[in-house]
Amino acid sequence: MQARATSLTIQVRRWSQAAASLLPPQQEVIGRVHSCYARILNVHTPGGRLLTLQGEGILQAPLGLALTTDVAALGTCLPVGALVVQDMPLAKRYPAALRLRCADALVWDGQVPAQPGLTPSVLASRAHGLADWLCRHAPTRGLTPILLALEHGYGPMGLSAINAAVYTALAPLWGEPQAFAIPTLLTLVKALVGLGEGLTPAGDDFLVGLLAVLHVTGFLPCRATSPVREQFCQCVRLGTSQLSGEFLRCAFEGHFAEPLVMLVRALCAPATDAWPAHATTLATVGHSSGIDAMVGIALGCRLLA
Amino acid sequence: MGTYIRCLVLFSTYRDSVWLMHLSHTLESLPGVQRVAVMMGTPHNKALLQQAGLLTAEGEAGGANDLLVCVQAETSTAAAEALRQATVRMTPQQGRGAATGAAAPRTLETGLRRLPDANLAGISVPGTYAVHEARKALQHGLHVFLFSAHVDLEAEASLKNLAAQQGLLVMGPDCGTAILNGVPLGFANQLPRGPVGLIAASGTGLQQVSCLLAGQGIGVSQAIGVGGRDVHERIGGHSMRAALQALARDADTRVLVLIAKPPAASVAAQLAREAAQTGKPCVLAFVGETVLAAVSEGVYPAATLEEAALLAGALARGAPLPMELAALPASHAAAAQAARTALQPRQRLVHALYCGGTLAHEALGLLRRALDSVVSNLDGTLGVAPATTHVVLDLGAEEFTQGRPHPMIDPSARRPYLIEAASNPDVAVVLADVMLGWGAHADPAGTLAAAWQEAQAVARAAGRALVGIAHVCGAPEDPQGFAQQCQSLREHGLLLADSNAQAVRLATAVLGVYAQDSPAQRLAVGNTAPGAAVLPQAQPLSVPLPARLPELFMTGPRVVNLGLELFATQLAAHGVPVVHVDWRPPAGGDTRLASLLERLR
Repeated sequence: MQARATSLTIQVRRWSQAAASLLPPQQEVIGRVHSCYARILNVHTPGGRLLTLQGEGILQAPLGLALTTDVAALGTCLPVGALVVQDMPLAKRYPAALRLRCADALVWDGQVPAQPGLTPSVLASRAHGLADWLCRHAPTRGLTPILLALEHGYGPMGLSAINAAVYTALAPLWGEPQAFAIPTLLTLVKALVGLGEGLTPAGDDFLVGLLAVLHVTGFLPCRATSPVREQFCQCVRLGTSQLSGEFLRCAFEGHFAEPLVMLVRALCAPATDAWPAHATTLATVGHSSGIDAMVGIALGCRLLA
Repeated sequence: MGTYIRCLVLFSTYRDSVWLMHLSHTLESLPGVQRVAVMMGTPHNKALLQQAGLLTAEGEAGGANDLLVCVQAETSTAAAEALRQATVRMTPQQGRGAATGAAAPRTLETGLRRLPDANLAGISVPGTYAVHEARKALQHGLHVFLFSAHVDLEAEASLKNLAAQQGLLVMGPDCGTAILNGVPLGFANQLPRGPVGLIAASGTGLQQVSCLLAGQGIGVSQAIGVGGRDVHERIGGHSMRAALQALARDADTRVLVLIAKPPAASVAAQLAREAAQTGKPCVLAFVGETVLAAVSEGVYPAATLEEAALLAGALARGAPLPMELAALPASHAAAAQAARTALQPRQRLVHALYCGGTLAHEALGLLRRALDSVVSNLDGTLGVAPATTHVVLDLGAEEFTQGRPHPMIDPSARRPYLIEAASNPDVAVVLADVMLGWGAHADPAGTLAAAWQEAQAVARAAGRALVGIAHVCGAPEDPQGFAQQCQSLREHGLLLADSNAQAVRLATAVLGVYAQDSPAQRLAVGNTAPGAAVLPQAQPLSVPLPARLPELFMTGPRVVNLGLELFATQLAAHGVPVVHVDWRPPAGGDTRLASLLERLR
């Protein structure tokens, strides 16, 4: 009775392909409210995934759904644990607090497919360009200080404890040029996952940026075997929060938040003048999440070059 | 002094990163608190906290999905208080209406039912909704103080046209400051009433001139912010010209001052023409390189905000106009000389780190007149060769405030740039502004002083001295305590200047270079004594007088506030009738539905 009184029905305007694939039209139950903060509502699906509900605008998560309603206004009506279902006749039997109309939602492809033509020199050029942009526009934010420390070999002195830890993990890769390989990736994941401040720790954001580069260069899709995926997921499961882990898991599968996809696509496009605008947008994500992901992209390009 | 470590675990707690950083800074500012870490309890984070000596047995209990709040404090009481504050802030807020026993109005219309004689809407809701709310306010016959930014030019033009039709004024968008009938709106100083009327497309420019006037013992009649883009060619100075009309007819206003960052040339010329037609002496402070081809009698261009205040002060007192270029007082010149002797030969650079955008603009212009190679984020020249050039940073610019409060609210944003400057062996002088007033940080001088101590330690460790120069932009009655703020900076070894322009002159003097004001603009001022000035009779202007503005000046604002509750609290503290609207996006944020509902009315 009470649940019926507070039930809301809201249209999903747009969602990512990854989110859409988790919610086939015939599936009645979407999940339960996991957490709500700022303008984000996370829903935990029966399959253990986390969907991110937001208001209109660019999709801020790989499993993002943009609703026609501002989520901040919903928070008080939807306590943690509240049931969320699809708005369909069969689901009327559920005492759901929120019913989502997904049928007419636009699907957004949040992948970064492998791009031909990303030669070592192109990657080096993009790494340099993005690192330069970060040093000019966000010199002290997030992980940016490690760019200069690595480039000039300053060492970890003067870096914050978190940046020094990230530096320590990355410095060996700078010392001796070597081909990037899966063991290198797994070593980095073990060293960085769950490291740093913020809801999504800086190390996780860095890894998301790195994984985007591994996808766009075609490195990961052909090497992501089941054992590799298993090792990666285990590191993530043990090393970071469920929410940040979802972002990493999606990134491993090749799905990313919209601002990051827009930047990576622009960086890899033949015309090289469009990406700074997307970098500016990504820089506004989180306190420094967008910046840390860009550091991951810049250093990823450098490592693969 | 002891050291007490306490940890709080907030199980399965999620907040966005910006909020977590804000919590961390808030706790760090509490008395007796030395260090704070707010992190998810992942294994790597717990290892870092362990190394830093910030993890207790209680903290160890937290897992990757839990939030850890770790505090190091001087006393156990201070540590406990910090954790109590953290708990309070993490508790979900209940509806304010329920807490007070009366439901707060949720819309402008219901707010108006509570305060039917309201004459002004203060709007600080997200830009997407601000235009809609501002249009509704105008249709209800309210003037608008539009703090919200991110309103496009066409929408701004449309709002200002609607206001003109209704006989109303739109202050903004992106308007940070106004003082109406002695009542401060937004970020404004506590100023005495007086004969000078200010109209500004620049928040900190208005604050600087009005505070310098207050320092001369001269008050303001009205201070009207119009938003930085009002002087854009597309807007044509619409609100500034309308306010000029009103102040021209305001009996309490004897001297006018128009302030703007570089306006469009056509707008600057139009404003100068219309200022001359008001029949009142008018000072034009267009900060930057604006050159007025011809200036009519009764119009006094000022090269700096300081000069604008001096001219307006002289005009208000009926005293001779200041004719000499502003010189550095002997005490400051001696201090500069003494500071220079402590520097090493290669220390030749100035790094100016500003919270106030217009003050940064002014410093950039003045430094470029005196020194070669000055770069800044204001004009995109930063990054060309930052290690070997003079630098002016506007830390309130978008690229520095993404995801964090404006440095007037949180001046700790300046700290890393200060440390960076101290690490640079070529930097001799660090220049900083300290903004006081309503809405600003409670102790900006204390924050700067703490960062300055760190910077000095860095420079000393490298065997160098570093010169710190600050200007406190504030009025004697400001809530932070102007005198105490100045004293705090002096005690920490910073040189204090009386104005932003003087701070720049002091900085260049430390380098042995003496800045000059623009001679062309000084010539334009002429030597007309105000008592002898024969001003033209007031003539009709091309922008109509907002018919309802004199009533606002006469009776003061009665406000319906949508958005930041801070502004309503501030108004209530001044005894202003105000209703705060517990605003939510219309139709739950569904813009299409909101539009349909609007049509049904």
